[in-house]
Amino acid sequence: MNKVEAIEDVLGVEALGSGVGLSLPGGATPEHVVAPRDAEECARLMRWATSSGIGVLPVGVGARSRPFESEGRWVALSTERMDGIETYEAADLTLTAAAGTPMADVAAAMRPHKQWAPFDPPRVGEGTIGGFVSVADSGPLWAGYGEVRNHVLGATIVTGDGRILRLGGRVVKNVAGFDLLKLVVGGRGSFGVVTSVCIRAFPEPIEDRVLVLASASLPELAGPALQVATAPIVPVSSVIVDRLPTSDTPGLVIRLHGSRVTVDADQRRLEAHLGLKLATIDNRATFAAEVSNRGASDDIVIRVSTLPSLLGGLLGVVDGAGASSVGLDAYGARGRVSFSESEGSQAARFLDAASALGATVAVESAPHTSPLWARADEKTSHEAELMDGLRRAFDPEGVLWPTRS
Amino acid sequence: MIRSLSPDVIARLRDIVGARNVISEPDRLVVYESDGLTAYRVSPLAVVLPASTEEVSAVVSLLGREGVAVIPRGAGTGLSGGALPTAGGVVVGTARMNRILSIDEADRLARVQPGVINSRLTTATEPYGLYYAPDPSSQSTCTLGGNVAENSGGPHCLKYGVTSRYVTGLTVVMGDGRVVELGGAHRWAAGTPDFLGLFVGSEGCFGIATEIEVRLLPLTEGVRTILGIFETMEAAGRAVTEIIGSGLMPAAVEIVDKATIEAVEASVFAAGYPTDAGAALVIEFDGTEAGLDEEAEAAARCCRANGAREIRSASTEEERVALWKGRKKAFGAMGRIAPDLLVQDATVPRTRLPEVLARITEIGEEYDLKIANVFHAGDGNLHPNILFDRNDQDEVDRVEAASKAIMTLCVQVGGTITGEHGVGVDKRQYMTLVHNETELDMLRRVRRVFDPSGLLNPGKVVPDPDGAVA
Ligand SMILES: Cc1cc2nc3c(=O)[nH]c(=O)nc-3n(C[C@H](O)[C@H](O)[C@H](O)COP(=O)(O)OP(=O)(O)OC[C@H]3O[C@@H](n4cnc5c(N)ncnc54)[C@H](O)[C@@H]3O)c2cc1C
Repeated sequence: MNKVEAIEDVLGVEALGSGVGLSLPGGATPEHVVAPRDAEECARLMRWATSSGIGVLPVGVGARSRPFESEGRWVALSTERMDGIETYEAADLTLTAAAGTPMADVAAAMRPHKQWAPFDPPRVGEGTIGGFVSVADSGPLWAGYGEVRNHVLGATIVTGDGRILRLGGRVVKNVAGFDLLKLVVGGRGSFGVVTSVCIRAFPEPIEDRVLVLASASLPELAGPALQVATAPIVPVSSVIVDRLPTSDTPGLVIRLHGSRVTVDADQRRLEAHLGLKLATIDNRATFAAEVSNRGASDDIVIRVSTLPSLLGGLLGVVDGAGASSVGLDAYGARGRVSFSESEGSQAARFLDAASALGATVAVESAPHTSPLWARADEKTSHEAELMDGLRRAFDPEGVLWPTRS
Repeated sequence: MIRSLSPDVIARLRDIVGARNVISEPDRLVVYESDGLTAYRVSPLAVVLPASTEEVSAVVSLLGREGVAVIPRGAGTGLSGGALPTAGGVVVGTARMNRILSIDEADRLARVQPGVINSRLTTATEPYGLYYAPDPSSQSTCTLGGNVAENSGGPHCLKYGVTSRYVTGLTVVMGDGRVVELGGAHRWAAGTPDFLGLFVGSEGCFGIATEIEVRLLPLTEGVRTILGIFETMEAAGRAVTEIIGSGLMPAAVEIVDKATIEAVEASVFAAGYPTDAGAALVIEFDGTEAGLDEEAEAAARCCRANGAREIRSASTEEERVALWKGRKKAFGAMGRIAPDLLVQDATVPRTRLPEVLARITEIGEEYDLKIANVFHAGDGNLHPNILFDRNDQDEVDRVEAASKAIMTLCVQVGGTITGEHGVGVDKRQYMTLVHNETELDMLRRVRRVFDPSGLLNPGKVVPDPDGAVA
């Protein structure tokens, strides 16, 4: 039996997807794209793949441009047919959806109830909820709301050898056994295919205020950024960008949420702490979206993190680096710096200079043939060992991500 | 099972930690026989009290080579038997590892040894305008190491989140004595899977945390506390749902029921709650002073709309303490009206609280037991407390049966068997209510990745494959 027939046999012919429009790692051209309908089908596929020695590459888990080459035979697994909100308990502030449900649909379902998912990583509205959880990038709003990992209450995953695990649940506090869910959130599909997710919803803030401090240069923002990070109030987000949507100059963008009275008072306290006035932005939604995408808007994207007290040094390095786009969360001293493809050597110099400062750096995106990919992982040897052990526990035959070491 | 430690092993342990920090005399071991769940008691072979990561590592390596089980222990306030010794095991206590290693004001981080008492960290950071948010009700005695191992919560975790949100890095001694670093506040960019998050809540089975890096928050400017008195628990439950659903973000929403009010008012802790009330609801807001009155008033309106017969509010710290008293002293008061108290712990979706509480009352009647409820209502985390006398075997059996009925009920409505106290030994028997054998097997596999020898806190959390739980 050839492979197509085998998949048809296991899942039915409609499980064969086209692969059109899929965000696959760089260089990956699957023989087939398989799109199971639910966890059971996914489990059958994984068991078949395990017994036939065929690799499975989950797509949409945030590895868009990562280089991918496989010696063996493999198929791509898409969650496109696992689509739809399963339950939305607005009064409990929880929503469960199949992994392929677009984040835009999740937002649309919550909106009439005046609820939302308070995360703003670059392009959050474009992916699926499964991809969002697999990548688990919170965006700068983590300062006010916590990280994605704190708000994923449950997930169903299918392990590499086709076992279905229901992890967590739909309650906010849950310590019934080791927290395997934490591996799934941000695990980029390494430990299993996420087929369904339960996340927490939040009431929309009554007042959402966006404040801006424009500056002539990035290094000049170091002082105010540290002031914000040590202010008596914690803004829900504070981001340093190389170019403000409104003025083309660098700036610090601060968001405050709460009731009108609270936000007014918080703004006054913050301004007093900074010793200056902040400008209020009217067109908040577009402005905030543009700000969140800063740093991740070019061919080469580098993730960088340090501590707030060391942000000044980092901004100095970023300033002279020739980056095409910068977005750094001031409260967490972390974010992204991007370069155009032709600036690959500048990106490499930036990686060296930032590491020399003690910052953590990793390549998130680059042309798949780029030598920069050698700097994609920052694991310590213990972490690498844990990774291997855990992957063996979830995927004993190494079916998932067929080329990953 | 090993029945005793050889004199040679004891001598080597003494060499590592100093003679006075190895306890092996039976009369001095008594205090280590149980944790806060005193129904279970097992004497360890010895207790070792190291003072540093290096000492913990040397102790764990030595015991590993000898095939002796290691039971990590903080303050022993755990309520699920997590620090209960295993027969033939040695307790490694963190009592001497009680130093705050650094407070980094600019980065809002602190690094501590695991034996630091939770509330001591806040006391130490207050002069910098900072505090440590997770506040288990046991915070004046429990350790941060225990909090990490249990992923502890507390009344204010409704707004601020539980321990895992605040732990940014750990130094861990693994089962073979190796020292590893997990996480680190500055390491976001590395994009490593969340091994740190996996470790938090591992109940001493994955390693011993020997240094803990935590995130601190700025002290809040103001606080408002109100107390709503309700005729019925159902009405109080509905008020909670409305408050949370309305977009208000209270720092804490706690409920005590009629049985608890009666116990508190009959005790030396009398807080002035009306004894004919069905439930009392403590609601607290904190943050920027300017908005607090408005928020407290909005919550009071939700209470009134749901039938609160009285609302009290605190305007001074003294009044605030008074309003909280009936909640905070509940365990102490119950301890005085019955010889024994089983503090249960489970979580349900918040909207199911009213029906679950009604059913728990019925379960109490069915098994002829007094059950008093005190709980973190805002996040659906129940603590049905069962009063009993351990010398009455029939009553002990009924407590067990009622506990099982309550756990089953909570799981049936979409909840779980523990929200913050952990599985330990006590809840192993209920793990099959929430996990199938495939899931349990995965928990065992993951545990082996961290501790291949299986000598770290054996007999805890996951039931054995043959279903044995004892
Ligand atoms: C009156 C009272 C009120 C309570 N209120 C709350 C509450 O509001 N919220 C809540 O969550 N809990 C509460 N608890 C339960 C308990 O206090 C917490 O679970 C606490 O975190 C236990 O800390 P401990 O230092 O006493 O740990 P222990 O009881 O000594 O140990 C608990 C577990 O942690 C492990 N452990 C301890 N130290 C380490 C370490 N350094 N590394 C690895 N593992 C370790 C032990 O092996 C054990 O499994 C309460 C308990 C009491 C008695």
